[in-house]
Amino acid sequence: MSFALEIRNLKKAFGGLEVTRDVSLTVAAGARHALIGPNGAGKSTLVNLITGVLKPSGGEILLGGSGIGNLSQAERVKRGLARTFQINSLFPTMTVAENVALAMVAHDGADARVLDNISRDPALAARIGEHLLRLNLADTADRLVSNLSYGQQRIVEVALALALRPNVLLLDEPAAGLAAKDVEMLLDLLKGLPDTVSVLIIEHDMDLVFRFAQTITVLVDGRVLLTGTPEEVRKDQRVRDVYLGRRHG
Amino acid sequence: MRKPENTIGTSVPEMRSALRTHRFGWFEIVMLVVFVAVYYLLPGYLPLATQVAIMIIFAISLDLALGYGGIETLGHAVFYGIGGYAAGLYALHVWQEPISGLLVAAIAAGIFGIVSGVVVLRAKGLTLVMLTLACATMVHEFANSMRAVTGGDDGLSGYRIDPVFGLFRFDLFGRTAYIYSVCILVVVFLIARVVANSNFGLTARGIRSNAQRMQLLGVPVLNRLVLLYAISGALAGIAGALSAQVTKLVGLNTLAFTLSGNVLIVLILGGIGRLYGAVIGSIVFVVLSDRAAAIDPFNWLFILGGLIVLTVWLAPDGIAGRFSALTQQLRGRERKS
Repeated sequence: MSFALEIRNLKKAFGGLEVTRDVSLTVAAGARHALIGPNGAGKSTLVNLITGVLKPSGGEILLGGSGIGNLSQAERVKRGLARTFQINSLFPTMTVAENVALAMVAHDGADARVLDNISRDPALAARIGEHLLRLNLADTADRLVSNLSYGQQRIVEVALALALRPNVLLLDEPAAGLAAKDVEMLLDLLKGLPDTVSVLIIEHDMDLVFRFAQTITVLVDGRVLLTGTPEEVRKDQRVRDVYLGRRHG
Repeated sequence: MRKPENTIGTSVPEMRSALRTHRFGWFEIVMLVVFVAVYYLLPGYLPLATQVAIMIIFAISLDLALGYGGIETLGHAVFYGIGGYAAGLYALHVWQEPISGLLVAAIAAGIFGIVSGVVVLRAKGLTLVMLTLACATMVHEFANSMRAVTGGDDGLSGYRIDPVFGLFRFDLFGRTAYIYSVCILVVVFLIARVVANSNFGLTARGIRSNAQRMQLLGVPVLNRLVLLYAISGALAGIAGALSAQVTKLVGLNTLAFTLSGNVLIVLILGGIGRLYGAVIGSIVFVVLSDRAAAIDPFNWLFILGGLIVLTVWLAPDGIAGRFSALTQQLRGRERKS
């Protein structure tokens, strides 16, 4: 079976501190996979290893069956990997439309074109308009990102990642800091993603996780504790112990 | 019904307007009128006005690198100097035709931008500032030591420049030099505008705003910065070449830190990342320097320094930035009323 994303025995140590310990994980094509765990479990480190922000100490990362461990961050994106950030990482001095245009132009491989005037490209303008409409961001197109509410900025985060038309989308705590109604909006948005996009979501909002994910992996102390369906994870005593305070070696 | 403020639809024209680009307006018309008026009304100041035009080209080149790409440099004079020496040596040894001299200078400075950019643009912040300064200092010392080729601290001279297009001879009063410089300025402004409004210009702004995220959008940031640095360098080289052609002299001062500092002051005065800021800043800086030196030849730098402090205090985004803010305020009031 081919997986959209496969991680084999991934390791990461900062000096003597091991934060990712032999992690193996598979995300099937079109899957809605969640990664949960208490603070300090190594979830964001894992995303940083997958996207190339950090270099692993060992192990393999395969995207669509091909190793990407030696590729740069940019090359991994070109292979269909996109991510959002736990803390917004946008272009605050630019408009929402410009933010999305950056991603679209990069995806098209047209970001170095010196003679193409961005405001004279009707096809690009139409695509941006459709994209923003789909994400309920149409009325913010001409606003600077720095002037948006936090919830809107979180949606722009997702909008940027989706504009790259990824095969695998890594969402790093997309609901962090969102009001309840914004979480619902985010959930609707995520549920509406096409099956061509495989999603690996890291999230502390368990309600969101259990309503969205088909498969859940629990990470504790840098190790995979369990992978299973939401029901299996919900019933597992070890998971309850981790979240209620008892630790497992 | 009137739409609420900051609320637009998703039609193509509305999306286009949300992708902010430079559009021709009254500013370009005013500038052209000013340049024509100077020619007819202030013929005694044409050499000074030529200096202004050259400084504008130089400042526009820095604005592309710093204002659009966020490349913090204190050694931009290296491109100006390389362009100047390339044009001077070309006129001395190869051909005295001026336009081809500008092209040779642009290519030389652009190539230096690629070579040096690959090394220095891996750094950021203060390290980058110091590396650009070190680069300029090394080339300055190299030019000084190559006396046989560059004339050392005596400068490179003794070359002549043919009439522009074989028709317009450079005259003693600086008329041809002025018109020639203004024409090249218009061409450079148009080139810079094309770059700023392009996909690449958008990418450069993105890199300035958040380089890490640009990597994660799949953009090879270093490659793009090197390209921008080379384009910027080539335009600065044209400015240096123009200076070499109209003054018939290239000195070591064209590579000096003072010139790099001056062009940075010009941008801070005028406003960074707007192209217009380079134009306004150059006019204010060169004219003020000239007037301050005429009023007090010994303490003119003090006067200039005071004015710069005042401008930065009252207009932190530069004169163009302040003007833009005022215009937006006025538009806001009009909407309300």
